[in-house]
Amino acid sequence: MKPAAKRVFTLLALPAIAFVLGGCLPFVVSGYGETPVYGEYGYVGPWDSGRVEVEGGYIVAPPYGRSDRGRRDEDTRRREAVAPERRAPVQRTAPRPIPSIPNNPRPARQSGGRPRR
Amino acid sequence: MATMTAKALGLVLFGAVAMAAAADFPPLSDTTPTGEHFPGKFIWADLFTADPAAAQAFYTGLFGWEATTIERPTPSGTHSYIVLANGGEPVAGLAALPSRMQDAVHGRWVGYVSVPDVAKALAAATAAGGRVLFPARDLPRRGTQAIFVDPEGAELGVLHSSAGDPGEYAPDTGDWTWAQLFARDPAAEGRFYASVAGLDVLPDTRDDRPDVFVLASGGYSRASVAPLPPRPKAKPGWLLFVRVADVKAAAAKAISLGGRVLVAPSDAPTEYWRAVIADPTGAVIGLVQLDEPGQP
Repeated sequence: MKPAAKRVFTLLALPAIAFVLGGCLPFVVSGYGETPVYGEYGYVGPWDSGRVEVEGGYIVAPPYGRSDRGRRDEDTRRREAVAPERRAPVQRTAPRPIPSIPNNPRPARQSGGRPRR
Repeated sequence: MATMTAKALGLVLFGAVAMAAAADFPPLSDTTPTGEHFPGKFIWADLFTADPAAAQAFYTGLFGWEATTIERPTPSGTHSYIVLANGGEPVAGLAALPSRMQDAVHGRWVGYVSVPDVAKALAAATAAGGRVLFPARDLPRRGTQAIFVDPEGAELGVLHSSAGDPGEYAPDTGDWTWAQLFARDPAAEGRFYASVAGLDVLPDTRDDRPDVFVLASGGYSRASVAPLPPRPKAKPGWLLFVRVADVKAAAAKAISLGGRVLVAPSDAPTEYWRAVIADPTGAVIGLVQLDEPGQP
C-alpha cells in the first residue's frame, strides 16, 4: 500500500474506531450480573455467590404425541361451514386443542454425520 | 442490573456476530436442506460464554454434539466461533465473551425463532415495547438475524435462514425440543410474541391455570409462557430444552462433566420428563425426555 493510501485508510479508520470505543465506554461492566431466572417457576440465585436457589413452581411439558394438525384443519373447516354468528360460541365452549410439537418421523439423512439416535 | 446486563450482552452479541459476519457459517440444515421456512419455529441457539472450550467439552460430552471451530483473524488475534452439530446437523453456536466481561456476565443461551422478515419482526417488537439488542444483519450462508429484548427484558433472536429451516420432524435426542418463557405477565408477553413472530397464543388446555399459554405456529406447539414468581430478583427469560433419552442419566452425566443440576428430575411418575442444569460456565439449559411417538 502506498504511503498516501495508508494515510487515507488511517483517516477513515480512526472515526470508526472512535465510534466503536465511544459506544462501548458508557457500558463498562463491573461487578457481577444476575443469572437469568430459570428453574422450576424458578429463581436461581446470583451466580457469584455460588448459591443456587430453586423454588417449586411450574414448567410446562411439551405436548408430544399424535399430530393434531389434521384434526385442527378439520375443526377449521367445520367452523367455517357454520354461520358466522355461530362461530364464536363454538370457540368459547371448545377451546382450541394444543397441538403437538413436530412429531413426523425424520427421513434418512442425505450425507455426513454420525447416525441419529 | 438487568439493563446493564442487557447492554453487556448486546456488546457481546455485537462482537460475536460482527466477528462471524465474514466467517463461513454452515447453513442451518446442513444435511437435509429444506428450502422451506417455518415461522415461529425455534431454529437455532447461540451460547455466549466465558469459556468456550469448557462449554464445548461439556456439551459434546453430554449430548454427543460434534464441534467445528470457525476461526477468523482479527487485529487483536484470532476470534473463534464454534458450531455444534447433532448427527451432522448444525444446532447451535458457541461464542466467547470478551475477557473484560468474563467476570460480569455469565454464560447465556439465546434462542432464535424463524421469521419471514427480520426487519418487520424488529419493527413489530419495538412497536410492542421491545428493544433491539443487535440489529438485523446478513450472515453468509446462514441468513439474516437479529436479537431483541422483549418488554420484560428477556432476550430472543429472530432469524430468516438462507437455505431453509430445519424440517418439521420429531426431535431426536440432542435436538432442541421445547422452549419456555418465564414472564411476569404471560398473557401480555404472549401477545407480544404473537405480533413479532406470528405465534398463536393458546391457553394450555391440559391445565386449569389461566396464566399458562402455549405458543404455536404451523399446526405445531413451539413454546410455552408461564408466570414468574413475584420475587425481587426474579428476571424473565427464555429457557431452551434439549431432548435426552433418559433425563435422570443425563442430569447425572451433567454433574460428572462439571455442570450443576438446578431442577432435578422428579421421582413422581408424571414429572419424570424434565430437568434444568447449568453448564460449567454458568449457562442454564433444560433437559426433556419425551415418550416415543404413539405412546400415551
